[in-house]
Amino acid sequence: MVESLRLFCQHISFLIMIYGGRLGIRLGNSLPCFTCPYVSGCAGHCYLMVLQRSSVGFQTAFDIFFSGAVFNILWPFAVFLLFFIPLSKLWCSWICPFCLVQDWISLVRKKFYIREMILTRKTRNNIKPVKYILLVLLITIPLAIANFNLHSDWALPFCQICPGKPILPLFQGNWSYFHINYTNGITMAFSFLSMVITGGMLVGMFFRERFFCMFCPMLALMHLLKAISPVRFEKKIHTCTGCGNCERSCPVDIPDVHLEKVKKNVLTQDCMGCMSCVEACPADHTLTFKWFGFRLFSSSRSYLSRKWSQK
Amino acid sequence: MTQPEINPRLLRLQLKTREQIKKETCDQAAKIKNRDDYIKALDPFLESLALSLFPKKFIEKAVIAPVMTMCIQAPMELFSAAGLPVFKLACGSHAAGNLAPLQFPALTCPMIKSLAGLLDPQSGLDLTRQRFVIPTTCDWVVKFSELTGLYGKADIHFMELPHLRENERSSRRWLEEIQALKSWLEKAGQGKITPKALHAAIQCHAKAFELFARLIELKRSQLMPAIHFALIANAFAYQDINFWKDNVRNYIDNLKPMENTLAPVLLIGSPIVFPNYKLLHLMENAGMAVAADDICSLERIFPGAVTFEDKSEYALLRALAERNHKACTCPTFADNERRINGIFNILEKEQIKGIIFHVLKGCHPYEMESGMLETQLKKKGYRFLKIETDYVKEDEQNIVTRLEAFRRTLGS
Repeated sequence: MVESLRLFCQHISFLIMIYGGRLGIRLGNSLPCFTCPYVSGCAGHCYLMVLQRSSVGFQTAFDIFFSGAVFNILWPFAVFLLFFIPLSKLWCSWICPFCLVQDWISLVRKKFYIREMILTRKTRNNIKPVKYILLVLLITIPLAIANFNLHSDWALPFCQICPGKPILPLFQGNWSYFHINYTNGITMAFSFLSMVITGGMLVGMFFRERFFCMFCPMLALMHLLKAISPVRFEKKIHTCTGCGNCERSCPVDIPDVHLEKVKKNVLTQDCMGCMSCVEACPADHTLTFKWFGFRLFSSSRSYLSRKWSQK
Repeated sequence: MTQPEINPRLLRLQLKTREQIKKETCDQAAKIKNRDDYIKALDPFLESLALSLFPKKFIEKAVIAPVMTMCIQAPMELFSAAGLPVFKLACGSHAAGNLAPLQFPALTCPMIKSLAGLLDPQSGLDLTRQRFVIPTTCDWVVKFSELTGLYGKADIHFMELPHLRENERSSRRWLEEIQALKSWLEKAGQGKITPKALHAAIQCHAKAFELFARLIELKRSQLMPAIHFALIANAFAYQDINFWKDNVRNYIDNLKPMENTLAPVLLIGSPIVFPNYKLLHLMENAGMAVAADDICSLERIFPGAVTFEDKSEYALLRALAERNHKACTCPTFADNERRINGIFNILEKEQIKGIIFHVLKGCHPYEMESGMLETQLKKKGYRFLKIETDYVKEDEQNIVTRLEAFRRTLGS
């Protein structure tokens, strides 16, 4: 079963990403998933932090961009691409440790038979641009620090409000990021915002599967680079009967796969490659995930009937 | 229901008609039992179907009084979870139609007419004590209770079916209908339907669907005759789900391999219900096998597996609602353009070249869509034959001649 395999991969990668550093695993600073640098002893760091840093990220003076030093910025990006290209969005649902944390929180809700919060298509559409706005801000704020004398306490703006910063260190027994930093107004505002966002996200993640992923700027960055990815998600338009199973089984309720009637490529911006929709599709070979042209997993009625009679 | 005064002539007609229904049932059963491929494992299906033509006997035999339902939109899982058996209102008896009230229009859907005859108040069945669940699909179904005089007398729960499938508003409305059905069943049945009971019922039906999917595979590989499949599919609506599953397992275990010499065709259109297997027999006589179908009383009787996100009541009801609404390709829907996709899917996968479109005279939704489907299918190079008929036997020779001619166009 794909779901079991995915959960197995997620748990293994969680152990590696969160505790791997203690075993000597070093995967660098350009990973396309939420392996938070605030977790001491983690195996690697999220690329979003590098993007915001000085000299290797966008906290860099404009003149540097036109000098040889730009390679300091391009090099981590190249490493990021090396990690990203082979797996693309499969990083999200199969490797990202923060995604697994969200799945655990959802599991608690499911155990108590509490219903999920349903968002209308309109609300979901309104949320879509937020991750791009966050991506733009996490680039422009560091640029402003380096070029327009913005206070240095604005550094790493996204990391300061990212719910991964206080939540992921908990798995190493570190509660220290749950606090308000009273150093100055900026740090106080950031730490307060961080606590509000983390609280909101925890509530959101409890009532809604993969709640944070709807706002994740990493997903936005990945989607911008989808053209160079070997992962394809295709739909046979002429065999879809419009049953809507794909939309309902999707953790983020993407309607596009269900509603698409023209395009073959249905890898949308919010898709995280969990393949739940493919598992739920009753039409043979209608939804297919491909990797370098090879079929990874394709929908089938017999798979569907087997899986759901055991669920 | 108070029984009206009845004149002796009408009483004689009723008695005669009941004898005719009995004869019709026995004839069809004998015809099926005399086939070379008949196996004993089909007996329970045949018995249930024969009993379905005598609702009074069926209800008397049942431990718990069943709820009478029409069409496939009311999820069977909810009835199971409520501990209520189901009696499907579907009938293929020509004789039963003679008992239909006179106010029925001349060109009435034969199934509706036959059902009206079956529920004739003079049959001894106290209809005021019966419970009905009627999803508002086609106009005939909508007006059924009024035409038969049931409206206002029997306990009828209508489910207002939104005729759009792809927008959120209609999905929400249909979910409300499913929630209302749950409440109604809780009152009618053995108390509250808990999420656990509902999940257990869904699982039970999912196992049945798994078996049904196996039967579809067998039929599509032409390892089982279409008549057998029709018996099993039709009987699903009259048997306890676990009993039905045992019977299907027994059937699969005892199925003898058959010779595959008939040309495979796809049968689509109006429902085919016992004992009206006229077209199935005639197609076989003409050298064609129904390798696949897209008929709500046959392959589509199971709308599919229920895929749910979690086991909360809301998620399970939503999954049931969408499975029986969005996944349903009944021609009564307005945005039904993707129905053709399912048909193309079967044709491509099973490499079938010919399609037979079965329309019951008076079945307007299928009649309306036949022309559109014909154009689209012919454009792709498929052979298409429309057979418009009802429950009478007089047109059999005419139909078989057309079927034989069609068979020749399919090649070897």
